[in-house]
Amino acid sequence: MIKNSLNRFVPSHPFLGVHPLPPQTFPILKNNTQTNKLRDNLTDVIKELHLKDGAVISFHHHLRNGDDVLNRVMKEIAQLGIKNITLVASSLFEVHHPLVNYLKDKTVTKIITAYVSGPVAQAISEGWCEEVCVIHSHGYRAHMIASKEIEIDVAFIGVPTSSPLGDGSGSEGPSACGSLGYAVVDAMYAKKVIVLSDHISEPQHIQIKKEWVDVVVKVDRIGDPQGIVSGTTTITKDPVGLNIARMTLQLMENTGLMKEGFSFQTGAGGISLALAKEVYDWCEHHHIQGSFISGGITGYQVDLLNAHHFKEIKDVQCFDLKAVESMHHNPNHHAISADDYAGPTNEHNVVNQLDIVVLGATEIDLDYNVNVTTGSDGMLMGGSGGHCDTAAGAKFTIIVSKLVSSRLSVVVDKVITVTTPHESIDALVTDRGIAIHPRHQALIQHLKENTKLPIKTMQELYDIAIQLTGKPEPIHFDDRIVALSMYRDGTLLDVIRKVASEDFK
Amino acid sequence: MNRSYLFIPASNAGMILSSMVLDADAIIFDLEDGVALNQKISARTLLQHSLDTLDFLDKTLYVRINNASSDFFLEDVICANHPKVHGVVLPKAEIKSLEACLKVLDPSKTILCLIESALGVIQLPQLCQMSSQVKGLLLGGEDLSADCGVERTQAGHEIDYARKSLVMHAKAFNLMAIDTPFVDIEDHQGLKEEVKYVASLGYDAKVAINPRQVHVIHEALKVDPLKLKEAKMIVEAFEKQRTQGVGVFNLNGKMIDEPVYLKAKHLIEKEERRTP
Repeated sequence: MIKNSLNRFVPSHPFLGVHPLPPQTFPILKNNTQTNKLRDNLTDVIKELHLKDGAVISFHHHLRNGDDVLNRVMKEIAQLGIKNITLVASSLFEVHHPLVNYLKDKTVTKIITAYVSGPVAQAISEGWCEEVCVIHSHGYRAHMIASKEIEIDVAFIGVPTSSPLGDGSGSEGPSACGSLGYAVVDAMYAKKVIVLSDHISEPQHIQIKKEWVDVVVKVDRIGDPQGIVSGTTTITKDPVGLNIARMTLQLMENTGLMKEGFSFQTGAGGISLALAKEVYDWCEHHHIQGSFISGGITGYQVDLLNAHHFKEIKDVQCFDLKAVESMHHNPNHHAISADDYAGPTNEHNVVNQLDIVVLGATEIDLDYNVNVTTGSDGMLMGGSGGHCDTAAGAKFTIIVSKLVSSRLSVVVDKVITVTTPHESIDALVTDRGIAIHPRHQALIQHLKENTKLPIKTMQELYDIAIQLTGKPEPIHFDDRIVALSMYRDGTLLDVIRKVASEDFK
Repeated sequence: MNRSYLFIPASNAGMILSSMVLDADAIIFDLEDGVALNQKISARTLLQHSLDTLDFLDKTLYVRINNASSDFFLEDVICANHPKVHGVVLPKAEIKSLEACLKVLDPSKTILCLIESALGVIQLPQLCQMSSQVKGLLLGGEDLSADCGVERTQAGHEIDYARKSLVMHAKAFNLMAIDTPFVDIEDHQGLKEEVKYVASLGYDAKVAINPRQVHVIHEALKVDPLKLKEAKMIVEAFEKQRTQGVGVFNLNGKMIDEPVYLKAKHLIEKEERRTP
């Protein structure tokens, strides 16, 4: 084991600090001009692929917790008795619980993903996956696939509307999910691309191009619309969360970055949405127009676009129906690929153009390292997604959280797992105070002198929290490493160990 | 000067725990109507432990005790005598209940008289003068309308007399005037309009029954920056003219005299005291 720059021991490729990768481009070699791609029997299509033991297959997560594609395909593969599959899924949710059995019977022996929650995450933490899994960022996934660091044998891509030849759109059809940003790279670079669609029609807005696609399979449905996107996303009503949002806006104002043409990203959680609403009111009051909003998109970001508070949305993923409809109708609401969003070797990526990003955290430690990968019990329950990508790219990265949630402090002595390294984190806003990274001494001074924001050190916030919660008992882990926390340059930030059996029982 | 007084049921541990990080200038821990009868004693115990162990930062803390005629009254007052508590909100404040309270309340504690009965309204002159511990009057519109046997409406005609009478008494005896809660917690526009209305009558603050109302109250109580600027100009000009023996003069087409000066000065002072 080697010690990395965060003093974490990793088996190889130690993280050495945040250093940008040199720009690289990867040619798209695929140009399938066949005209007889449309099929109607998934079983036959999978049989004809002649998948071998050890194959590498990929899926996207735009159908989120309504996804039928992964489960349907894996069932077919399991029935064929193929083993040792490496599953490259952009994210895995509760709906993918049948995978647990495929881990147990060795159909799948390795998972490479940016986010995993629910029973699959638990099964990995309990050691059911034979090989060590990899939890990477959305940006690095795009790079890994494009650079062939990982070669995808077959990409199975659920597409809400596909032409018989494979031109596909995410924002049309009964299972519309909006952007197909994470699937684009799979489609461009996988050896074989199988599109599954429940709506065969010529799309108006093409996100997946026919020349990348080998087979189009008509299926009865690709997902449950109820789980794909929520009808509405709503702002928190929790007054503590609303206070955090208001304080965050004040902090953003004082960074000096909120001026004409500024860019901004926030998540889809309750506090983040409240912040989006605060930004809306702020833009209206100050008559300032931002350049773009990026990331996962909800109706609140759409409101910012429709009110002309921002010129453009760069959307890698839609979270609600309003976002899906906006993408379909508003020419300034653009779908972007994961590589254009956060590809670490893509010199024009969106995250590098961000002024401010506001993110959540499960834990943040006294050194400002952030964990969104494992829970306070040490179990896998998430992953970077775009966390470390946006934090690295944005000029100012703010973490927002209640200081104490479910009787646990968000500020800890040392995070269980490093997802985003301290170098990329600039501030933590909690209900009981704001900690600014000590490298921003001028800002700290400015905030203390010119605002009434409760500026504290991370140690002070920790002390307040521990006074309320007490110091939690340490978690016990086995020696066995079950997953790796990989940074967006391919180096290793941390390891995730199997939770000791008495703890997870 | 407190702009907002937020009720927190003393039976709700989660709300007590987060009360100090909410926007409200003052917190009223409620042992009375906000607590079910079978929770009264446990709520008081919870409040006592919370006061002993938690840091409430810069919040001004009050306890709404139970009615003087209830079995809980004495123990509630003892709880409110805690060093961290600024004072009590005395429900159904009338001469008799205030007398009872003054007998057992620590002399260092202040009293906000909750005027929520017809008798309480009629006894306002006496209530304002009975003790220097009385620092404020708080209108309880719901109970008052029930006591009068009339329907409580958003327009508030039924409490109009009491509302105006209360603020006049507060001004006459230099007490805080605190307006009744706005009960529709989702109607922020209605709350904003009501706060502006009562502020125009002279009210200093408003009670909030939901934390989300606090921000609306504070925003509505903000003085128009243009009016504040104008007031500062008037004060500066008047004080300059006064040194030259001039008591009445023209400023940008408006006649400025002593009452105009005093009003402007009062506005500036009020804003300064209100700024958290």
